[in-house]
Amino acid sequence: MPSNHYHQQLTAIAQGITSIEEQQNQPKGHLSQYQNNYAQSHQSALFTTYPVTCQLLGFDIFAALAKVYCQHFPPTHWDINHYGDDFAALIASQSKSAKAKAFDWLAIAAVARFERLLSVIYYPALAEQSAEQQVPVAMTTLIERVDPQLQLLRSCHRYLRIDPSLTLNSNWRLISRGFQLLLLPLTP
Amino acid sequence: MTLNRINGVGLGLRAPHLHQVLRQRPKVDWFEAHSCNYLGFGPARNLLLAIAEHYPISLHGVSLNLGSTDPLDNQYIRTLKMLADDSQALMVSDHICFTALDGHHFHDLLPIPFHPQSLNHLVSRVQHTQDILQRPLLLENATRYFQHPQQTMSGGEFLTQLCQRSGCQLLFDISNAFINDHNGMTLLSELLDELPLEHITELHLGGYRQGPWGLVDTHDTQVSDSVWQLYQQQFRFAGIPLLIEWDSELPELDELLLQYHRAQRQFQQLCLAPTGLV
Repeated sequence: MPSNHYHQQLTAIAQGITSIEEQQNQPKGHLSQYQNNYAQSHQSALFTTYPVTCQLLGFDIFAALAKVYCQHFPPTHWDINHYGDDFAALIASQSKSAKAKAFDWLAIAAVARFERLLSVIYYPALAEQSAEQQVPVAMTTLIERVDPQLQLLRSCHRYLRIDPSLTLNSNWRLISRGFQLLLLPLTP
Repeated sequence: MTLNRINGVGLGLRAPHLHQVLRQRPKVDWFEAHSCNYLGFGPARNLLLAIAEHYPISLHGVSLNLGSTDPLDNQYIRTLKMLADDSQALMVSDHICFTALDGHHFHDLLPIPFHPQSLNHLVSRVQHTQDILQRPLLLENATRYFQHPQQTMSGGEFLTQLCQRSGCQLLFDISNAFINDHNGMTLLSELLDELPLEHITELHLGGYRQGPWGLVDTHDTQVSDSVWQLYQQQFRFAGIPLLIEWDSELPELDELLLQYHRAQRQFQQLCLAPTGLV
């Protein structure tokens, strides 16, 4: 087992990266490069997972929310594709903020939740996560408010195939098939 | 525990190019994929396995977290073994660093101090990992943007003892060594003299950019002329499989292949250089 000294040596770096200001008396070199990497890689992961959400909010608003999220929600999983579990909740919470009237926050949050679902089923951590996922009508109705023809979803997620028989304001199912994800109506 | 060898020049296989590679089947000796993107059971993995039917594959990861004091993630290692077996990967590699501490994941290659304690710790964890993987690991020298004041061993000394004691192999990243030297972190000439050449199984070359205070290992541009020049000076590296890394700001596949062809010419040139046939 390594000594506490070794753990402390690593802790000094870890804390220096996530602190708002660099620690004094840091070792030779710059923790700022690691701070920069940390912020950029996690914000970039959110841009990758939520491209439609980004288009709906605009780059600047999305980037500001991504920055806040990364500062307050540390990653707890080795797979960066899984980062951003609670991002949709952060977006939904803006419906009660001073910017409540700026966007249809709840509808955009529904889009974000759907994009999160796409990411989980595309990069499932467990075999059961790659199984069929259901998208309830409560979510699809909200999505329709901001992406009525699902054009943004189609253009931003090239691996997503939307069945022509799919109707809005209905329940959907999302399945993984070969190299793609299929979005189909959920028939009773 | 045997190590299967890969030959020639490889190219980093990245998500935006997967379908095109499968469709066009470009002439590439081998591909290296970031294992972390394919450990699940979804479309991404299916694509990689389809490509693996046509090309030798090497798996390169960033999440073994070998240098950390957190417990090793045995589930991750077992899943990695499953991917390596399914893709018939010839090599599995990761980095000499830590990437998470006390459950907080940084998704970056954070430097560990080089001293006997860290060496003992790392040797034990590498051996444990190799026992599960049932193959030797290749471990890469990462860029370091600062030195621990507690460091008592040189980089070359650390790498040599790590390989000798654990049975792992070395993935020597020439660009990273160049950057560390330029940034005043490691003396390149000393490192090259101390390298355990007999344990170097793969070489990496990637692009870098100028940062606020030094070079940054960005992997988002072509390999620089300076690094190619450095490579050509190292007769000791002749014939060692070489990989071109380009991870972000990806160009179209055709442009990437131009870089690949340049790498092939450089590789062949170095193979011929000691014989005076160039």
